[in-house]
Amino acid sequence: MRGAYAGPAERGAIARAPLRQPHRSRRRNPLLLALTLPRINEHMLSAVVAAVHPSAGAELAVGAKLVDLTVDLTAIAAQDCPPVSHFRMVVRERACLRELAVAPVNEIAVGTRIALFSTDPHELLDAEPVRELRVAIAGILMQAPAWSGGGR
Amino acid sequence: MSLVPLRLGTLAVAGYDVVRSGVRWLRDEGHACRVGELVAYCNLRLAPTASAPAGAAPFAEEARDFQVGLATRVGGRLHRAHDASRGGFIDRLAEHTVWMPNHVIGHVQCRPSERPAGVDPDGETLELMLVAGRRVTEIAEDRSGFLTGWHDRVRAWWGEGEAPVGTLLGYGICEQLGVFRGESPAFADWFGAVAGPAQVVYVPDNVLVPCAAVVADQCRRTADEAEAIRADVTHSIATGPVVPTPADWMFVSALISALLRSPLTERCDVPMRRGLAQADVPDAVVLSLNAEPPGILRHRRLGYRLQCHAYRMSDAGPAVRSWIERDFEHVARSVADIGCDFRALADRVRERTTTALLVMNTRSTSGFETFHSYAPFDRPLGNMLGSVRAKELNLMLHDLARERNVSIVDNDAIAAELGATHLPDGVHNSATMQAELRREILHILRGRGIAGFAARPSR
Repeated sequence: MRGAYAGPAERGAIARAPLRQPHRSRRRNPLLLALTLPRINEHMLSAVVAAVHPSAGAELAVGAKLVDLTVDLTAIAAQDCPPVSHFRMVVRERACLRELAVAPVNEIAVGTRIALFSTDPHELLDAEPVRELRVAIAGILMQAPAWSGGGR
Repeated sequence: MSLVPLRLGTLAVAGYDVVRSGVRWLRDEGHACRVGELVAYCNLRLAPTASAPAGAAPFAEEARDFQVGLATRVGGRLHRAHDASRGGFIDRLAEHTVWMPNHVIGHVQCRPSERPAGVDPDGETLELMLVAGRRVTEIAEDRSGFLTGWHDRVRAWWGEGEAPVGTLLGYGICEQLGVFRGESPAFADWFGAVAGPAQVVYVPDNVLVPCAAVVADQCRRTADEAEAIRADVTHSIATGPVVPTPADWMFVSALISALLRSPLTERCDVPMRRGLAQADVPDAVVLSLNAEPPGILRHRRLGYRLQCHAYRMSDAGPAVRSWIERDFEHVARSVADIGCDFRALADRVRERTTTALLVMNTRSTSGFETFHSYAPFDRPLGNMLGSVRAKELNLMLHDLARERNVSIVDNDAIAAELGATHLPDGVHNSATMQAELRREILHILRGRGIAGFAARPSR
């Protein structure tokens, strides 16, 4: 007697099944998506926006640069050598940037909304976002000396 | 049970009286001591006698912060002598008590069978770990504890016999602080692991970051060039467009003082049990790859290189920031440039000395990253992504190890083995990791046959 093992016949059946529906974000069922500042480092309370790359209305491809952030743990770390790190967020799914809530040099708390996105550029913004935009975070190098930029 | 007296033993320097403060205890009455544990310390001073040699006194730059840690050779229960410590300034100033070899500061209660064999069959003579700190400024006085104060160099040395003192220098960024000074009391971890005669020196990165280019400049700078830098800095800040504040002067004084020294080529006086010795230039130095930034400052007219932590610059004062923006250019450095700096430094060191170069590599991964593809990032990736640059730097170090006999202290592998919680931000390490890095450094020194750093006999 056979158990739950899916033998060749079943696998063939699966292979012949109709193609899956496209992901819901690609259907004519637009979604509103939010991006809020995640807790990149467990000790961080906030981050400073170093750069915002796209403008509102931009249609972003996978891999598009979103924002650069500086996380400064000076206030938390009881030491003279504070970890100051720089991060870039890039998008991992296609989306249209609808509203930007931050600008360079803004210091924003963890959980603060950075931007609002939609999968359809014409989607009305009168509903709550259904989820967070999928992003990737990478540590980046400071491109200029901090003191010439006016801060840590 | 027997009571083993804790005697000071000989400490003599020809032409000088060794004068000490009262004893300050590091361990409580009744503490169960381990063999070799530092239990007390006092401040020391060399007071010239009529037969003192002419000229400058020994280690004049460190004379005010010269101390000795006292370690028991016997394990057991500590009993302090009631008159060893009088507290207050009597225990802080080396003024009133001449060092007497037979003076007993207390006893250790142990079984007769626990008395050690060897150099001191009765185990009565305390083992000494001498320490000295060179103050950034003589007004930075802090006698509150063992090797306390604001120093631009601290060191500890110990060991018996007439052999030359092997010297290890830690000259990196803050990741080396705990590795070299260790947990309290300072340098006790090295003292516990190394037989000696050995000296461990640590130069902190309070103001100056010792990247390879800066260290190479320090090694080759002439007295005339140093004077030119000193004069130029003073003139530029005093006559610049921004009126300097006291903070500006204090910062730049500490910075230029550190810049114009050369820890890699300094020799140190080393008072030992039976006289004054001089330690040669370091037998080995540990540098930090984390001291190598993507950009460095170069003076527009005089050409010297300078590097400070960015977070220090925001505290420096407006006139210093203005001076840097006026008088320096920011020079981007690729991994290849940094490799060239290290090669130049290694060649410079080899011309003059046999100092072994050890370099702590850098953690090459980050627990804070979530990316799955390099496609979104500009090329070259090493100029954009910290983790890629770190990998490239570590690879460059392997080339350097082959070409210039540099030893790699594998911070990256140790962090990977211990886990991210021991190096959460890539620089500031846990005590466990610091201990592992010390073991790795000792492993390298012993492999290279550097004298003085053999393991202590098992106790």
